Amino acid sequence: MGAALLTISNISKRFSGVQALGGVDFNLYAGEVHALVGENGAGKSTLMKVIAGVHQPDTGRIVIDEKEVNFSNTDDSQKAGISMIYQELNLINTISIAGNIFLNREFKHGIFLNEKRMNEEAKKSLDQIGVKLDPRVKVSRLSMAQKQLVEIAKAISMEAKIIIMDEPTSSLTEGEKKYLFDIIAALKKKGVGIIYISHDLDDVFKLADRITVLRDGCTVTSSSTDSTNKASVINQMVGRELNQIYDFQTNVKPKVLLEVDGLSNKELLKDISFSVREGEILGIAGLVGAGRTELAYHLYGLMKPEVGMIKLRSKVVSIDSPSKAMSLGIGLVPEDRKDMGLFLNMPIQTNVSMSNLKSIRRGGLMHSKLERNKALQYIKDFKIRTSGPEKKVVELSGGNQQKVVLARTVDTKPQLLIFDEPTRGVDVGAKSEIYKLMYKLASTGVAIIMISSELPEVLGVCDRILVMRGGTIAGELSREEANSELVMQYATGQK
Amino acid sequence: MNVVKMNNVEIQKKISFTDFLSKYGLIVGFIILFVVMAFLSPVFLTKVNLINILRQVAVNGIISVGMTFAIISAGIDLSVGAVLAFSGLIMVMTQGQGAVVALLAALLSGVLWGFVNGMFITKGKVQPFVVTMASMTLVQGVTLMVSGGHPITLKNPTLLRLGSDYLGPIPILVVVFAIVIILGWVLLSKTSFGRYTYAIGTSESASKLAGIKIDRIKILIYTLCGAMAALAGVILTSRLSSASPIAGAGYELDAIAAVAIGGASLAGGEGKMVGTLFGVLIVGVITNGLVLLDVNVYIQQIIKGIIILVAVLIGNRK
Amino acid sequence: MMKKLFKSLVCSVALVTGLVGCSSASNSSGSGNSDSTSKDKQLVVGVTLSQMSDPFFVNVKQGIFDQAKKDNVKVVFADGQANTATQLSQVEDFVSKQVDLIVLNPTEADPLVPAVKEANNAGIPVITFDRWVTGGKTVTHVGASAIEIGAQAGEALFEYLGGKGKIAVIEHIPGASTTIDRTKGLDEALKKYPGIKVVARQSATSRAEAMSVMENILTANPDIDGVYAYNDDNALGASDAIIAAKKQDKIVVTGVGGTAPALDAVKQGKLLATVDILPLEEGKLAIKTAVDVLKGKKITEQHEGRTWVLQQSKVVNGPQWDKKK
Repeated sequence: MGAALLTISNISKRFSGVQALGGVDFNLYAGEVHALVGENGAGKSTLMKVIAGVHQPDTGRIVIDEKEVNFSNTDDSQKAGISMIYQELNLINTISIAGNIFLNREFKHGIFLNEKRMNEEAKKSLDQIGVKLDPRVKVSRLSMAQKQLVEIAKAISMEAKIIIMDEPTSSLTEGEKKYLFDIIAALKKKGVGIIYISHDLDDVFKLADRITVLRDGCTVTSSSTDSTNKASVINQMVGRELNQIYDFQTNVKPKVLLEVDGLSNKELLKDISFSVREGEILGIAGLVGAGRTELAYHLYGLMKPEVGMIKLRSKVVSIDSPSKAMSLGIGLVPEDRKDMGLFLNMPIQTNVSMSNLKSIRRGGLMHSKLERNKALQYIKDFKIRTSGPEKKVVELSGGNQQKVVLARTVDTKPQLLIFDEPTRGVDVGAKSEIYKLMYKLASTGVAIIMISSELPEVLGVCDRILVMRGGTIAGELSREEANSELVMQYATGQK
Repeated sequence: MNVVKMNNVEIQKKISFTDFLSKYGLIVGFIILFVVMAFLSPVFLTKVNLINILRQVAVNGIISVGMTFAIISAGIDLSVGAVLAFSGLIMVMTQGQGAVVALLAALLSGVLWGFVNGMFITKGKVQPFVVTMASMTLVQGVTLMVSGGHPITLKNPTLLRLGSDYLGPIPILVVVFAIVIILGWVLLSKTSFGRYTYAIGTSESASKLAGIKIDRIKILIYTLCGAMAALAGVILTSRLSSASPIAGAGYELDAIAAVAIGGASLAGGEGKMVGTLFGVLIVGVITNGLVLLDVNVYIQQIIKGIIILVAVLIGNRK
Repeated sequence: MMKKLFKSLVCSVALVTGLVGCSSASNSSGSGNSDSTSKDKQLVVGVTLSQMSDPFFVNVKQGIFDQAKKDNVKVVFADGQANTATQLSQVEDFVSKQVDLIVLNPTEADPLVPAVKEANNAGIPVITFDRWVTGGKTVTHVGASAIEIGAQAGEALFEYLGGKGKIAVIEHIPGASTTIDRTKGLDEALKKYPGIKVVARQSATSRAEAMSVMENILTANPDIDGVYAYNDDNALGASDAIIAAKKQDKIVVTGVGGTAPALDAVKQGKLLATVDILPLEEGKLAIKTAVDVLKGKKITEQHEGRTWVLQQSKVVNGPQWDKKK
């Protein structure tokens, strides 16, 4: 092999106190597919965004074609021949394929767009990857796979030497996937270097020449595909000791609280059945897109199942809205805390009392003193760090915001509490406080369902674990038998 | 060391000044306006004139109370002017059945239109701007058709008294306005309905998750808007002793202006009833003062526009 | 509760659609029947009025249809909705329908010139009605003279006041051509009565606004003797304010227009006088002139420097007038 197309050495990056990348080394040769794997939060996306110029690294060097570069934005990286295809595709639905391919670098006649030339050039790019699409068609009419191909054609038209693909197969069918792989092979032949990020280890082993494993913002190993295997990659991805922050306590009581039987909804959920006991903490693990959040939405009335039955304390219930769920004693701490969980521009006390206003009313009217006292109580109990209950939630840190959501939900006295990614963006100290609150609630008989992409957390906190994959429950593990390799195997379809 | 300290103090002062402006700027602005007018016109501060101002703002004030709820919920109601005219017409058409029946019929007609708006906004999932713009045109058309384009005279003596009689030294319609604004304040800041109005305007998705029945609250908001417009229609009709099918034109914009001057954000989630009250009063005092001073009518419009812009600028300082 | 409300909703919708049905039926009968068995080819006249939400034009329309029935003219009618663009397309429709003549009551003078030119090109004669346009070829103008009316109202008021006193003026829509013409007429009258002094000059566009404006004028000028309002609605609003202030014995009000509520108010002694433009007659005159033109009569009458078939307006007064000094 000659000189590397791209060499990255000792890149580090901090975001408001969190070390996202801590000295990463990585390189890429022309005509190579180099896969990047790791758990959620391992730093893959951050690393790619540094390469694409979205973020600027705190330390380290990026060398392209033996020249050191400093990108201050994506424009710079594109000029250097780097093209990134994001998981959430970056196309504008309302304009044509050609318009998207030449977005921000349009051909013009004077002040007018030269549509004809753009259509011709777009056609050439599409032809190069053997795609038969009319460049005048609007992107909104394309399937996900076709959109992906348009992104690749865009990269080709920019004469990219390096293409970064972030989870390109997550929404493709098997046939579409095969087509994409053929195109990747063709790109390789042309000498394009491809960085391929994926959760699907099957794909990775089929496609990649080399695999680099990232964990906690650091490179664990970088090895050629021939010299490793799936089991050891999984080991390297997860491989940390479960530490002391979990401080596990069990409170499972014999009585079953929730039974779900044959819950299905189109492609989202397929025949989901399970039960939760009082005081139990049930973990739901799985990859992004496995249907975990959708399951939570079905239990909280944000989505309606096509078939299936939900029983609370052996009674069949129909949950058609969040307010109904709440009146049945179900609470949800959502994944998207800022958008769905909080009223960011409102004070802490307003947020805390929002779901239970009748507790602060006297004679039909709200009393600000009752509201304030309630908030003060939660600030004390949940250790919310703030100057006072009047402070706007938007000014709090992630962990304290999460505690405010939790306070609001707990104030409705739920019997079943669903946590969706409860510790995302939360620092370690606040994490263990949130776990302690969970144990405390469980000890009073509250059943808890915890959805999490952070494996150590699921293994450390839960009495029992369900692993979801493609809308189904792929496996159920007791606390004793569960380990990270096993969970990952269920989640990725190895078992 | 000393210098640093000085700087700190200065910065703190500055911050508290902008804080002060955003909190009390509206009231300060009103007081300045009031004092300036009192200096410029010798008759401005007379009892007769002050009561005149209150009487003149009552109609817009009552509409603005409803509009405040709509705007805080991140919505808007453009149909209030049209509903006002419609309700006035209904009252005049039913005046033969007695004052109570006519009054109830008028209010009910406003409630009905508001409810229809609310249903289209929630069940039909159409933006409030579009729904109420359509209903504005529709209600206007119905009013013109039913009346044949002619104003109709109000003759029922009880209803006429509503617009012309006094309770002690205060005109009845000013008393009505005062009651409406106090009830509006209680409703907005002391009840769950008011709290949910803010919540929906701040984040609809968070409101849904928090178990708020969004549709029900929104329907109530637009029904309230309709009811307030109808009440304003009743008062205007009895004040003018006739119902004109085009009486409502422009009232929606006056109300929106008053609410915006009062510090509410059209993006939702922010606003106060006290702010709306001062917004209404500022508009009223400007209009009154400019006529007292016999300012040229073209210049009046320019001055009004500038004052609205300045008021909103001060209110948005953050 | 919900169900009940829904029921009433359905009822009201039914009511509305019922009314719509009625009005469209009456419209088609009003515009004459379309059977063309009669020997004479029935004349077709396209009429567009500026704004049907104004009661004045409701009466004009009545006059137009009354006369049309009498003369066996088919009227294709359109409401300009106070919108120039709407009216422009209505005239275009008339041209494409190949009507025999167009009666145009323009919302604004300048923007409707292209519409007139289009009719000129198609060889369709155009008569302007009540307000005129500033270009294109029109056969004649039909209507009352806003300047003359303005002067008539002023002279009536000033005569009543005995040629001296303080008055307030309440104008109508700022910048509108009728407002400008009323001002010209008022100025003519003021020249004849130098003892009259205008102490306040404000504007209002609705009865409610006129009432508020009048209240404020009364505060600033409690000693005025009369109010000159540019239209009837403003006059009524001013009178509302004066009556509320219990000054109806000291201050008189004149209006212009001759609308039904204003004529009533004159009869009841609430208004001194109004100038009745006789909208019904004005509407009839439009059709009469149209028929004359189509039968080949040359219009030669002149007024204010243009070809003009003048509608005479008349001052209507009531019991207040009898107390004249």
